[in-house]
Amino acid sequence: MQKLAAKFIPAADEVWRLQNRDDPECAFFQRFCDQGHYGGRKGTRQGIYCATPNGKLLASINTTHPGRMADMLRKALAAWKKIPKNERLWTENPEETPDQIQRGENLYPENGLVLKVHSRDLDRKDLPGDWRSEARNLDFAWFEQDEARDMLPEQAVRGAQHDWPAKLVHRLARFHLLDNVRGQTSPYKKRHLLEAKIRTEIVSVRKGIVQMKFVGTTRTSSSGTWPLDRAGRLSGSSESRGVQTRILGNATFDSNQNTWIQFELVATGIRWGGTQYNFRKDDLAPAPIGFAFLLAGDTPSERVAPAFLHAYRR
Amino acid sequence: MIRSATLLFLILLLLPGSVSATELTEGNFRRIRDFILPKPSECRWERIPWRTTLWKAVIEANQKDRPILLWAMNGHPLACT
Repeated sequence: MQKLAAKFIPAADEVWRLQNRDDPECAFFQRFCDQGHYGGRKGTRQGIYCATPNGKLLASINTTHPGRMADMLRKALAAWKKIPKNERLWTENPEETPDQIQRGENLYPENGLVLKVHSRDLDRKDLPGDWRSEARNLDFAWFEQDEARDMLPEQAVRGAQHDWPAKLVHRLARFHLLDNVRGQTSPYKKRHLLEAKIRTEIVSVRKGIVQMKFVGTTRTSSSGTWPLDRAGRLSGSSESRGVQTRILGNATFDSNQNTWIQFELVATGIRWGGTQYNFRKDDLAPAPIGFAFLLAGDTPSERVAPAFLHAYRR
Repeated sequence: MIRSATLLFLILLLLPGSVSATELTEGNFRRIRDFILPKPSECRWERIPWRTTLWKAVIEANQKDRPILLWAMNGHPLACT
């Protein structure tokens, strides 16, 4: 598969924006997505597409099956070879960074705190022997430089304690401590937040290097009527979902350079209920869940925007 | 209605005292953290040098005269899907 993929320029991107917005990047996707596997029907165009640089569809599929994926790539390469060079490239080179392309990544918090957020079910012996037993997910949490500095007490001396500002801990609870283990879910609104607190305690300070630990708790809960399956069918009864966690963590901050050297936060607790796209219809009862927040690197793939960045300020 | 009542009962039964089954402590912090983090076998897809936006791939593919392979999902495939 990797050998086949190496014949292409591979890209990963979020489909809703590509499908629904009208900037040059989205318009490019819309040139060919309706000719692909989901063409002619309503709803998402997610999947894997092969296209020429000027937007001619070569082949497409939506599968997790390696054999079918490889067949699609071979078909795309065969189609590519049949198209003359002048018919597969742009007549004029596309602009490298058209101002019109609005992406969350444009708001990346340079010099801030960027965390990789991992989620997974914990301590489960009752999971079916399929993908659900190994399900996990990933997101990113962003904090501007001044926001991250607000996680520390004003005077960073050994033993000093400081509660995180509400907006920071609320951000974690509402947008990141979510049951997305099996698939996307919705964030929580302010009114769903029942408890959210993280306290920092300075452990040591030496030559401007500040070591600290974190302890906290969160609880979110909402109820109402919403579908529990992708088809959008309502069950006719009221639904409930929520997450309750206990948080521990530690970090090291270089106050000379104003940078985070190390940061890790673990949250464990229980989740219950489900939403339309998170595949919990058969798993609604309270069950253990875990989250790990670790300092992200600076590679392009670690600069992808948080799923709910657009809602951070709400 | 019966399902909601059962679920509510289970929630009441389990909140807030019975999270002890997964109670996080300084003693089990590392073990739980490592369990949550992806294993190397779960990261094989990262070996493909995915460009993180479609437009970057369009520019490069046009310069190199190569076809584009696009993985487009609800939620960014390199983050939360």
